[in-house]
Amino acid sequence: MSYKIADATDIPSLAEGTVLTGRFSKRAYRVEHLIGIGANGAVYLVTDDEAKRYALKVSAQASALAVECDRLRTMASISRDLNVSPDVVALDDVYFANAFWPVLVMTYIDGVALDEWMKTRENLQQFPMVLEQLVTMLTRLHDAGFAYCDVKPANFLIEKTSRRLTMIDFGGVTVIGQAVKEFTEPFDRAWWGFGSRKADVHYDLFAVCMLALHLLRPIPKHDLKRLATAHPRERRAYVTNQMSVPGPHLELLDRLSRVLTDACPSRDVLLMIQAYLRSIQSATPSYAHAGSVRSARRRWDSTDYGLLAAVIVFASSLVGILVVSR
Amino acid sequence: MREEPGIRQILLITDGCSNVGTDPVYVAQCARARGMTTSVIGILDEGSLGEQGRREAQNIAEAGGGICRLVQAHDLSQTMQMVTRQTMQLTLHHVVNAELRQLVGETSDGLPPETRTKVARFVETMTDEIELTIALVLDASASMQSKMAAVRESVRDLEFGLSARRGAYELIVVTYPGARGEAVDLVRQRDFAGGLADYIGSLRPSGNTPTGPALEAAMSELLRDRRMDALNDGRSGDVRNHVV
Repeated sequence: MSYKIADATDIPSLAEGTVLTGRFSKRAYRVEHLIGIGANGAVYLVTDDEAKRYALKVSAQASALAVECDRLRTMASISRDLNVSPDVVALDDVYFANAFWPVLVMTYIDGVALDEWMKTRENLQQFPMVLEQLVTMLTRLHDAGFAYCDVKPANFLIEKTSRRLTMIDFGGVTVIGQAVKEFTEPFDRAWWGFGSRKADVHYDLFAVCMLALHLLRPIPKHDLKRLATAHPRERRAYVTNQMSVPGPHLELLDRLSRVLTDACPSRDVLLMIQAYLRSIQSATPSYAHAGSVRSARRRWDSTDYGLLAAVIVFASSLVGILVVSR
Repeated sequence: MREEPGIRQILLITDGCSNVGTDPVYVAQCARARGMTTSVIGILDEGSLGEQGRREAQNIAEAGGGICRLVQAHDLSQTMQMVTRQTMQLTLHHVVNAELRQLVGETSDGLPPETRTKVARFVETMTDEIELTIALVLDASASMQSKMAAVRESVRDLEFGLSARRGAYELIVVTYPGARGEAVDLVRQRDFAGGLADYIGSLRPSGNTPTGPALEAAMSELLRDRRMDALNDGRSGDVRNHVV
C-alpha cells in the first residue's frame, strides 16, 4: 500500500511529443505543451490521431480527480444551453515515469484567463457583463445543490471566438453544506472575516464581489502581505474601506458591498448588476446597444471621464504656457 | 455496520531539526502503529531548516504515514488545511481499500473510472462528516520567533476550516519547548476559552528543539482520548441501538 500523496509540483513533467495511452479507453493522446499547474494537477494540451485538441489534467490524487470529473458532468448537464464548461471526454489512467497516473481528458477551450483579459482597459469596461455571466453560471450550480467555492479570475477563461466566459476548474465545486475544499485567500469569506468557510450560495457571491474589488480596485501586494498576519477583523475593516474609497465604478462597488454582508440570493445580485448596466447605459448614449459582449464597442465610463478631464487640464495648461511664452 | 471511530492526526510544524530527546522518526512510527498518521510542515523562511531538517521532516512524515510539505510562512494557512484534508483522505482511502480488497479483491486504484467516481464521492462525504482529532505540534524554539504571527493566524484559519465541516473536531496544541522549563506544553481547545490562536500569539519562542518528546506527548494525549471514547461508547451502546 502506497501512502504517499504527491503535490501537483511533484508530478513529473511531460515532454512535447510524448504519447499517452488510456489504460481503460485505449485511446492515445500526444502531448503538445503544458497549459498550467493548478491546486491538484497539471493541465496539458494534447491531440489525438485526428489532430483534435483536448485538455488533459494529470493529478496525483485519483480521488480528487474523480470527484472533479463528476462535478464537470453535473455542470454540463445543467448548463448545456449556456455552453460554459468543457465536456468530459474520459476519466482514465495513463502510464509514464514508471507509474500509472490518473488523468481527466476534457474538450479544449481556447481562451484567455480572466485576469489576463482584464488587463486591457477596453475589456475592463465590459466587466459588468462578465459579472452577469458569472452570476448566471453560479446560479445554475447553486440550483443543483453545489457551490463553486474557488471563484478567482484564473479559474475562468474568455473563449476566443465567442468571447463567452467559461469555467475551467471544477476541483473546488462542493456540495452545499460541506466545508469548502479549495479556496484562495484573497477571495475567501472566512479569511476576510465575513463569515464561515462552509460552501453556500453567499460564499460564492462574496468571492464574486471580491473578484470585482480586485479588478476594479486592485489591492496592493504589500497590503495583502501585511493582512496575512492580521486578525480577520482588521481584514474586514480594510475591505469595507476599499469598497467606499471614491473612484471609478463606485456605484457598482457600493451595490456589491451590500452583498458582502447580507446573504442575498444570487438572483438579487443578478438583478443588481442588470440595474447597474441599465443605469450606465442611460447615462452614456454610447452604451445604448450594450446587450452582449460581442456588440460592446468602445465605451465611456467614469475612468474615461477622469482621463478626459486630465487631458483637458493638461492641454489648457499647455496652451497657457504657449500663450505666456509668446 | 461497524462504529466509525473517527480520525486522529498529528501535524508537526517546525523550522528546524530536533536536538534533544527521543528520535522523532521513531515516535512517528509508533504513532502509526497505533492508528495515527503524522504529517509535517517545514517552514523554509530564513533557511534555518537546512538539509538535515528537510531530511528529518521527510523521514518523520514517511514513518508516520503522512504527508510532508516544505513551504514559506505566508503559505502556512493554505498548507495546513490542505495537509489536514489530504491526510484524512489518505486514511479513509486506506480503510476503504482494505474493505474493497476483501469484497472484490481490488483496491479503488484498480477499479474502472466510473466505479472509482462512486468511491471518491463516498470518501468526499466521509471527509466532511467523520469525527476528527488533530494534535498540532508546534515548534516554539528561538528560531520560530519571527514566524509566530503567521502561525497564530494559520491556527485561527485552521479552526475556520475545521468548524465548517459537518463532523465534530477537536484541536490539541502541543508546543515545545515548554514555557516553564518542561519539554512541552499541552493545551486542549476546550481548556482554553480565549481561542487557541491567541494562546499561540501569547507564546514567547525560546530554547531548543525537543521534537521527539513533543510528538510523544501528542501521541499519548490522542491515545488517552481514544480510551475515553471507548468507555463512553460502552456506556451509550444500548441507547444507540434503541435510537437506530
